[in-house]
Amino acid sequence: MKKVNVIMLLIGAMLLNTAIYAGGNPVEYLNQLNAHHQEIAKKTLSYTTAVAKDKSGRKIDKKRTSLIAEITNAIKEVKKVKDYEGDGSLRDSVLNYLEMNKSLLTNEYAKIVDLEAVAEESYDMMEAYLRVQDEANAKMQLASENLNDKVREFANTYDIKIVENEDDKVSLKLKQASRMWNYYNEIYLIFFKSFKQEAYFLDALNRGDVNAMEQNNNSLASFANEGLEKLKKIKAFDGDNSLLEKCKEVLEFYKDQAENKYPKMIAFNLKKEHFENVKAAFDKMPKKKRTQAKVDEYNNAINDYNSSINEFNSINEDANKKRSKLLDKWNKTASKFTSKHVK
Amino acid sequence: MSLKKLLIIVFFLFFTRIGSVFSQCIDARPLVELIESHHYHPAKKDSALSTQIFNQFLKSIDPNRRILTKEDISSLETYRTTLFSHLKSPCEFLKPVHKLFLKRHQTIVDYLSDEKIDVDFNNSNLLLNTATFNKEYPKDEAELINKWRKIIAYRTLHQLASTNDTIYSQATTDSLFLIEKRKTLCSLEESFSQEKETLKQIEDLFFDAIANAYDPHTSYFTINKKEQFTEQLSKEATGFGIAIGKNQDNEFRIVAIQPGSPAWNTQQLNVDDKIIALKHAQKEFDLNCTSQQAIRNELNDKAINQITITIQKKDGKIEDVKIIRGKIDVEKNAIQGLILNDNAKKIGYIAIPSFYTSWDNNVANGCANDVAKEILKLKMSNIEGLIIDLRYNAGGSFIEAINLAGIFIDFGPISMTNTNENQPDVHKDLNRGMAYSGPLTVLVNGGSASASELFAATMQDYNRALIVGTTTYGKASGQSFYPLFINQNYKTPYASVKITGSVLYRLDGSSHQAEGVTPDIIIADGWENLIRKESDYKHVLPNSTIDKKAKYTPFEEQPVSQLSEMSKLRLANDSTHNERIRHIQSITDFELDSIIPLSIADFSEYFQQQNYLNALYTKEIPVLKPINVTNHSYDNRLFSFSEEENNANLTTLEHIKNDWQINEAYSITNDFINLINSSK
Repeated sequence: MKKVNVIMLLIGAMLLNTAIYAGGNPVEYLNQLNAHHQEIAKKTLSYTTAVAKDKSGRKIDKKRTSLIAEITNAIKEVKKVKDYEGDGSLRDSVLNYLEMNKSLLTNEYAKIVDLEAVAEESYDMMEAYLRVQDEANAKMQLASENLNDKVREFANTYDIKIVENEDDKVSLKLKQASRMWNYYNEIYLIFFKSFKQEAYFLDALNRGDVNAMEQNNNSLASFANEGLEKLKKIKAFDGDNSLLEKCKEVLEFYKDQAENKYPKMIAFNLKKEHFENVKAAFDKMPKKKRTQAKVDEYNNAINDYNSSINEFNSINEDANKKRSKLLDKWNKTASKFTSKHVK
Repeated sequence: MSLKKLLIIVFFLFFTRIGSVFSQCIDARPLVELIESHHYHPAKKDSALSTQIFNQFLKSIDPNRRILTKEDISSLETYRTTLFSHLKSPCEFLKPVHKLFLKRHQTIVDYLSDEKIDVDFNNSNLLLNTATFNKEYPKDEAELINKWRKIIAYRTLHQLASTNDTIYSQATTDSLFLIEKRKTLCSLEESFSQEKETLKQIEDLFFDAIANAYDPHTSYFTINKKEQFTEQLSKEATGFGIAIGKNQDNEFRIVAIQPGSPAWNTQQLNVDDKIIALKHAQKEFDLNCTSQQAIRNELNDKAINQITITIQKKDGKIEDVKIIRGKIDVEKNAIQGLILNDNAKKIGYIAIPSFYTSWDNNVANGCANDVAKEILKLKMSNIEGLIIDLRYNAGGSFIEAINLAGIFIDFGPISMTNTNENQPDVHKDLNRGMAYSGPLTVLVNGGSASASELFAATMQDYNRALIVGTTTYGKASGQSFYPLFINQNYKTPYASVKITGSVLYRLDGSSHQAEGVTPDIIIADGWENLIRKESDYKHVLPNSTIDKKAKYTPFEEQPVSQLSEMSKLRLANDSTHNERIRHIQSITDFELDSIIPLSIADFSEYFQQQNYLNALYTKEIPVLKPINVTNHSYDNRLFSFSEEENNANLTTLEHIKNDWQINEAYSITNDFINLINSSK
């Protein structure tokens, strides 16, 4: 979750990092509003790098807390800024933007997204999670565009020229980080959808709920196929296709399991129940009535069941081994990727 | 004070307390308050509602207007519109009613016990007018006695006509008359002692009348009555699997059927089917004179291996059903998937008689899960389509209906419910994905109610299934049980009240309440006009709409009009179907004389008319070319290794093969699959 948050911060951080040429009060006004931007930008970079390089949870959290503190201070300062010639809308845009950033960092999604509506309209927790990410992202985008517009408007009104400082190292690094996280996010969500769906299937398998097994497995097949189609349209990142390829490998595993292996495990449940019924009926039968035909029927049921058990066990073992290996590789690839592309 | 005096006082207080519970009527206000707080749309406590309660109550103590007289009703007129001022002490009303009732009951008992024969069957000019007989109270005591005279006379003549003797003597008619008197007496006493003898029993009926006045599904249950329901479905190893009780008209009916039991497996029985006759090898039950308990005891006797029950379904159809004692295994799958095949396509068929849920409320074991398992087995037999049969399925567990719908849709909302708090809830499919994604047909009729309608409506709204049959019952309400406490001092509930607390809404905010779900393709033969539906009852919840709409993505539209035309054409050209329509028309057109002459000479003509009508009801028109019906290879019943179970299975297959609506549903599904294949 942390990884995804960072993107939204980066959208805004870049915006504030501009140099302003021109003199006069409007410039001072802008500077007041912009008071903490350098620090925020630096701390954002520090935080996002720590996450990308998979530093310890404690380190990441320390940086996050520091960033939150910086933003909180900025909010305090900006609140003190008065209206400029009767118009406080620019200040309010900045404030709104900073508050959203803070909410993201403190995981208070409810302040950004209508969680109740999402809950009601989402099918399950997984969909809700994906939707919240999407909506929060969209809201942040909107807020930063809003801010952008307000700044330009202000600049036009007071004849201020806004130029982007292209030499600023922090700015460049943040841009790069943002690009990386966007790319990462897209592939991660494709992975996550199938990963979670397989978890639903495995849960149903453990509970012995045949209806849920069948439904969730069919869903797994369609998500895996859907994901593979989406991946076809994504290119390498700066020549690096490791994440893409690894995701593809994982999805192909899920596809194979859902289409070829799990249906046999589901069928096993039915065969097991059937065998138990046949056995119970046969045992009840008086020996005199056990004709050869009946005995053959009984033996067939036993054989069918036995081969089914063996198949079930081998599929299960095989799946567990493969899955654990693949997920391990995926995690390692993801770490390596993010670490590599954030300098 | 001395110890002795103290003991006497304690003793006295003890009895007073019990006395206060059992001999005086309890305050009816907690009942009304309970209903008002939970009912979806509680009516106002005004004179109109009071009248409804008054009428309902009189109907329950004297359904056929043959105990109280017009004089008695007049003496109670002051209470008709003012019952709400007597809620605190209903005894003010109930004691006079009870007194009158006991008096008249005694009059009737005296008449029936008197061995006098006061009808001259050869010269009688007594007439029984069926149009008014059960609808008018007798004027006074003399007319009351005359009414019973006519009842006994009718029964005697009916009995006489049923024997094939052409020669009958005075002695025969006389002895029959006395026999009928005795039988009628015992039946009267049976119903009296079970339900109407004591003031408390009258009070129970009154409370139920109060509940029913709010809507037909709200009712009052004494603790005993509620236990009776569940107790009968024995946890014994073997049995028949039916629970028997009485309906409001004092007729025997099926109260419950245990899923997976022999009764259930016949696929011919449903809850509320009236029981017209019941017999086993050793005897035929005289349903007039046997108590419910006596029948239950007999059915529990393990020596009785087989019973034949004659039932009348909600639309009037009469059927004989044989049930063989067998294992009642609650763990076993109670749903049986079958394969229909006319050498063209294999289409699965699953009948669901009720939306049962498992006893320990483990959702995974309810009927939806059982249906899913059968579908998977049918898929292994490569079915190309599936028919779900919900005819006469009166409903059951709401969750099971949601789960069943979930099998056929990927994900999304299924139904909405609303209570009197007006905060509608959206209910969703719990499992993402479909367990079956192929062509689906759902068969319904006027006996499909509640959960069946929820399922059919959702399938229709998603364009997921073809709904075939006739318009459904029209019950879109949900009921829950609430305990009733006399007051705060009592910790154990006095009774249980079933209250209509919620209403079901479709995904667009509309409801099928009082209207039913209209099938996409109607296939009818006229029987559907004979069934009594929700809107035929008094005080039903009206149809309503809510503003809320649920967001969902339906499937592609199905070629409903094309398939409908094809079905119409096929049935129009089917000679047996046309014969069937004419046959049912002849039943509706048939006018039985309303005036029954109660003399030997004239009665036989009426009797023959009656027999003719009964024969019409039981006659079956066979299907022209019945489809083949087989079990799939994992069918539990095939491997029962028991001769009786195998025979029962064969009977089921035969029954389904000859069901014209199942045959037509097969043809429609076949057409649908062909259309899909040709458009690819």
